[in-house]
Amino acid sequence: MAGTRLDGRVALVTGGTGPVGRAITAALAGAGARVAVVHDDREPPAGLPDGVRAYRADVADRPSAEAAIAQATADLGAIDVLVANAAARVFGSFLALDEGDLRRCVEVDVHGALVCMQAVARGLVARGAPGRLLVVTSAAAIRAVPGSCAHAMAKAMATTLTQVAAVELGGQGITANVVATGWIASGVPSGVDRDLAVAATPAGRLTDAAEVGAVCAFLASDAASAVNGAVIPVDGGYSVTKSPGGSPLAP
Amino acid sequence: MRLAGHVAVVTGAARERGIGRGIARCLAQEGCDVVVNDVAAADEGRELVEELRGLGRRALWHEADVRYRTEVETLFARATSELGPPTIVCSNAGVASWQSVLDVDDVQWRRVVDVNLIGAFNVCQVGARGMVAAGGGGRIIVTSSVHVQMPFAEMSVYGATKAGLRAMVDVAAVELAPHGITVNHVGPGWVRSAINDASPGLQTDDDVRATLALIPAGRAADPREIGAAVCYLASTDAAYVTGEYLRVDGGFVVGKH
Repeated sequence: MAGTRLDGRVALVTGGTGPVGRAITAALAGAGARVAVVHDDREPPAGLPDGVRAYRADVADRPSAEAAIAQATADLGAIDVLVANAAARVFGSFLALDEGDLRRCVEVDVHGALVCMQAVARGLVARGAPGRLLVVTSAAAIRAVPGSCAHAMAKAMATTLTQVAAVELGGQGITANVVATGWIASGVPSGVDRDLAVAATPAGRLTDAAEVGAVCAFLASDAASAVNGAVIPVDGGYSVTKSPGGSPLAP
Repeated sequence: MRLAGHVAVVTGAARERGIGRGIARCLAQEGCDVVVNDVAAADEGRELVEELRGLGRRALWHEADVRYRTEVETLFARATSELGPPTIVCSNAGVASWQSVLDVDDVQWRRVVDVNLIGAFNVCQVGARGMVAAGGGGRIIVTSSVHVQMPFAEMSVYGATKAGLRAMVDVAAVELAPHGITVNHVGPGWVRSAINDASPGLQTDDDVRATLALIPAGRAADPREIGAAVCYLASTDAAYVTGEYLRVDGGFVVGKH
């Protein structure tokens, strides 16, 4: 039976210093992968697991992202697993949304994922290696969440992008999947009503970032070799149903 | 005549074989006054306006590039001053490109995202703000695609923009419902429009036969068939329909397997 260990694999996680990125990094490293994180923090990030290397880049800027990936490859080896997790996290209503904010959100969340996918997948194809492309999206791309217009649009775009990658690259042993997060306990955006977020989640609690990391580690492993083009919500059931009380993000 | 007294703005409506023209014609046949917009093809746009006037409608040609916010604002300002506040907005302008995910370049990315996503957002938001300012009530209908539910190889950026619009429609439908505005999208299947002339999968007779074999109805759609769906969504019959995705695809999506 194919295992869930990642020993010998190299993984790259974008948005790697946020709560979800850190949890994904920890899960991949914990399964044995050598992990590079890409981040846009001004200061070098502290508190990463031993052996994890950090690279500063703006994924919305192709040369910046490609340079970080090239350096990570030079330092850690050819990348087997990409987790495109960087997000601009633009919230607000449809009527109030600023066009420039929408553009920025799409550039980071979607174009950033595309650029990283291209760089990693080209490397995989060139060496004939199997690989894993994971894109972290949001339950807001599955169900309408008032107040999440740009975020939902960008994550829906990233979902289709990933599914087309699954179609095109599946024959080369590369899988591409989407992990859609719900309300993350350590990463609730400012202005969100936590109580409403809990009430709206069938599990009756917010999702722990480590629970997202665990699903990513599974998808990155040999055990998930036939999972391709899937959208997997990790949200305590938030995307499935409605709950009374309105949107936790309601503008 | 279900739409008498209404004013509609239809973007991407000039081209003879295009979906937008089919939408404009159907709206006019239902009694609607129509602003015909496109980024080019002014001769065809003016010709369509004359045709709609021949039906007894007021109609207006207005060239504008939906990528640019100010041009969209001017489009709606002129529509309002010459025909009255638009109560029906059909965001239909779109472009396509065909490249594998690995080959998508930033020029194609920019072009498709700017027109299909940012342009449609501009049109829908400017239109919605006008409806709210006019006291509410209205219909926003976006032309999306079968790609919303059926990602195609070589069409990652196009499909992504249409999926992004689906998400916009969902959120806007919820948020604008208190204003009496419905927001829906139609999913055309294959139309023999100019946008598809460049499709690498539709260059030969064999290509066309192979595509037709994927469509249970066994034929391409007439743009008026998309227009008929838009008229339904614009009518009072559809007052309680919002956030909906109405495919007009001859069974393309359900028959994909």
